[in-house]
Amino acid sequence: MPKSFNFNAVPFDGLTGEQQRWVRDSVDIGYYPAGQTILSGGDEPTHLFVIIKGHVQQTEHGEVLCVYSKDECFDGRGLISGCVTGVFTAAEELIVYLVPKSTIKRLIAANANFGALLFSDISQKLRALTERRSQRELHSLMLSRIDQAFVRPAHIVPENTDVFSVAQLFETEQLSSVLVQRGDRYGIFTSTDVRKAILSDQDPHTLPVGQLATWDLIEVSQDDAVFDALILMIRHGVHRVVVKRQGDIVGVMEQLDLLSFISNHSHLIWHQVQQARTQEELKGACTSIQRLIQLLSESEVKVSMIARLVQELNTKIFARLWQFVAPPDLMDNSCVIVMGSEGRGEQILKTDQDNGLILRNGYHFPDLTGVTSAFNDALCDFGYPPCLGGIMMRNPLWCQNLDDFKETIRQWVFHPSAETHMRLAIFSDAVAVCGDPELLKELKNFFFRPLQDMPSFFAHFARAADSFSEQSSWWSRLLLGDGEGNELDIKKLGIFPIVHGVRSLALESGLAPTGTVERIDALVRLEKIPEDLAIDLKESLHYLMDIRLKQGLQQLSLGQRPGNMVRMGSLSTLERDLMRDSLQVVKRFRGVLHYHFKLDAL
Amino acid sequence: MWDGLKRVWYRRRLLRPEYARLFEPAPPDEWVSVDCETTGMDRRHDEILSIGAVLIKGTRIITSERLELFIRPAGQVKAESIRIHHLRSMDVAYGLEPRQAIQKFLDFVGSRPLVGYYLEFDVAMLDRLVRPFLGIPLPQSKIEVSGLYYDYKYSQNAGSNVDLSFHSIMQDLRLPERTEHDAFNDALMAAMMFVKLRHLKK
Repeated sequence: MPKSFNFNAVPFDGLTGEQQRWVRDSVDIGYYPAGQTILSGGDEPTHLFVIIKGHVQQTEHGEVLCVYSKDECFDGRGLISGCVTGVFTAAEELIVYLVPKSTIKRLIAANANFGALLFSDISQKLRALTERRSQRELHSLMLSRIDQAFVRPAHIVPENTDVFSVAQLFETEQLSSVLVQRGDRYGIFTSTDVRKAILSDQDPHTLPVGQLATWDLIEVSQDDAVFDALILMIRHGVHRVVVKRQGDIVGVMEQLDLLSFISNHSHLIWHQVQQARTQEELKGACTSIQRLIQLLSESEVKVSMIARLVQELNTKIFARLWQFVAPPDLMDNSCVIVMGSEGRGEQILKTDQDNGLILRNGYHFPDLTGVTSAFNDALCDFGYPPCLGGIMMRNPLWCQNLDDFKETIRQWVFHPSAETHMRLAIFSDAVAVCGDPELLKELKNFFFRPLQDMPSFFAHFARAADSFSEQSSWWSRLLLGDGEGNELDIKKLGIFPIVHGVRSLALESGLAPTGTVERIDALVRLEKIPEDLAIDLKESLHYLMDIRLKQGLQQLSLGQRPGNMVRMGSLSTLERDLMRDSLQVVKRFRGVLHYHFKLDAL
Repeated sequence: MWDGLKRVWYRRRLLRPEYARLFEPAPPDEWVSVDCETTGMDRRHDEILSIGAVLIKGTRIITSERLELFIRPAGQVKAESIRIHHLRSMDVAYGLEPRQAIQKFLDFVGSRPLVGYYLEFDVAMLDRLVRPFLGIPLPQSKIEVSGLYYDYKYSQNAGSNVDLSFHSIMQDLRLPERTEHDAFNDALMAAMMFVKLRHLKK
């Protein structure tokens, strides 16, 4: 059976023939009846267990942390750190391979991928983000040198600095640790130590940090692999290591930064945005986002996760940019909103900017157009194309004080046209990015409340979801496959009907969420749509978004603008099938909308 | 008592004094599971082609200490047996001399009890090589896993028919079965049956 050791399962799937032989030659087989404890807290494991048959539960304080089954292994972390966390129990009768620690160590030393994979379960976040298949990326990241990752510059304070001043420094510089100097020795003082200082009940104004600092620092050289730093952190149970270059301290590497670095740089972009001091630096962060999207997409990360991540980053960028262009009193008296797909969190590639500004009643700012234009222009410069419909804050229509905005919206509601419906639709997806969010909240309440008594409004409003259905039947083109000019507009045929239909139902029920998925979930809770349809809608939406993203990335790489047209010929048979299924769901949903809003009666 | 007498008798007949250790007490909780592939089922005329053996310690099967020996047969390998064990003449052409193989086997087993499925046949085949070398047959005690299995089934439901075929035992005990039948795999599967049956008997 050692011959049939499964070398296709992670983390053993990257071993060379010679390394496979090390495993085969040293592996034993163990048997555990159901219920027997295999490892428990404090044990020093001697083997890595690889399950042949059965299930193992890892519990801590009676709570199940994880379940392992066939071909999965445990406890890689405990094996290297020398200490097991939680209790591993055979949940059912278990037959396992036992790979001795010496073999594992040998493999880690000889094969960096193996080590990276073995530790890839360290962060739940990491797993969620990378989802197994992206491990190709993980490999290369784990192998990168520390100076390629993110090393925070070291802040050094003399040992007699008082705790209060250091705490202030933490606050102003957004630090979580400083290095403390005593002669030519260095220690570290972290935000955890601030807690200790307070509990010690001494006056923080006079208590020197030197008394509370930790003096035995864990050090790495900046030429070491990121993986080495991670191992050290695990082994010593610390969150920071000091990075040195030829004996000199160059900075501090934090575990969070490290894990984030591995989870594809997203956190670092966030940090880059926070730290940006000029518009130019902020633009740099924007460029990183597109690389991140590319990376995540290639790694087969779920499109919904990419979208959420991108939305968070975009929000941070908008907020930061607004801080650059707007003076503080304008910031206090206004609310920057983003709308449309950006507000829903469904814009992944930068397609356009839909933004606006709500001003507090009675507040006047002399050169408002100067500020708003600067904001829009900067975004264009960052790569967010201007909105063709003019939904940008430099357009006076989208930059008004609260009362004027209310009046505008009232006009839109009571004098419906295709255009006003579209504006209302885009506005209903608005979220506040910066400034006083109460302004947006009040405006939305004003918009929502009277609508509840106007059922006829929704019938007209929802009809837009249907407006593109008259095109010649999409399915015939799907069936015909790759013909001349065979293109489908997946936004019009698929994404928009779902988004707008859901939006109409959500507005009708006065729901606050702006994301389509959140809206669908809320509608299910209110029993407005059946659960099975909800699941299909979400899957179809994500599938279509995914196709659009992949196509968009391809177009970007060819120097074109990402669009909504999908060439049938570029899809595989399987993709075409999925597309057909998704569009069937859209058709079904249209039926539901027709019935619900009585669209046929219009 | 009969076993005791037999051991005394064998010990006196032992040709090679260096193998007296075969009569020492076995290390506690240790066994060796064994299986042979042969040119056929005739225990007088057929020959051993390979020996597989694996050490069992308590509930662990120490596959890292295993024995896999190929023996060069005197005659040709018959086609119908090749179909079972996939050992062609050319595969065993570079195998060990029977005597070398039996020495390695005895060194590996020591005084530990032997475990196997249909062990009687394997032991009979091995004894044909052991007797001329030691003057006696294999003196270790022997445990038949199909016997353990029968006892277990009988204790569960006396009087029922028990299917003792290898495949049904593996299935009934819900053990992972390997489709390739070579000496080592078979010894390993017998070892798993043994470990599990020992647990079930408790």
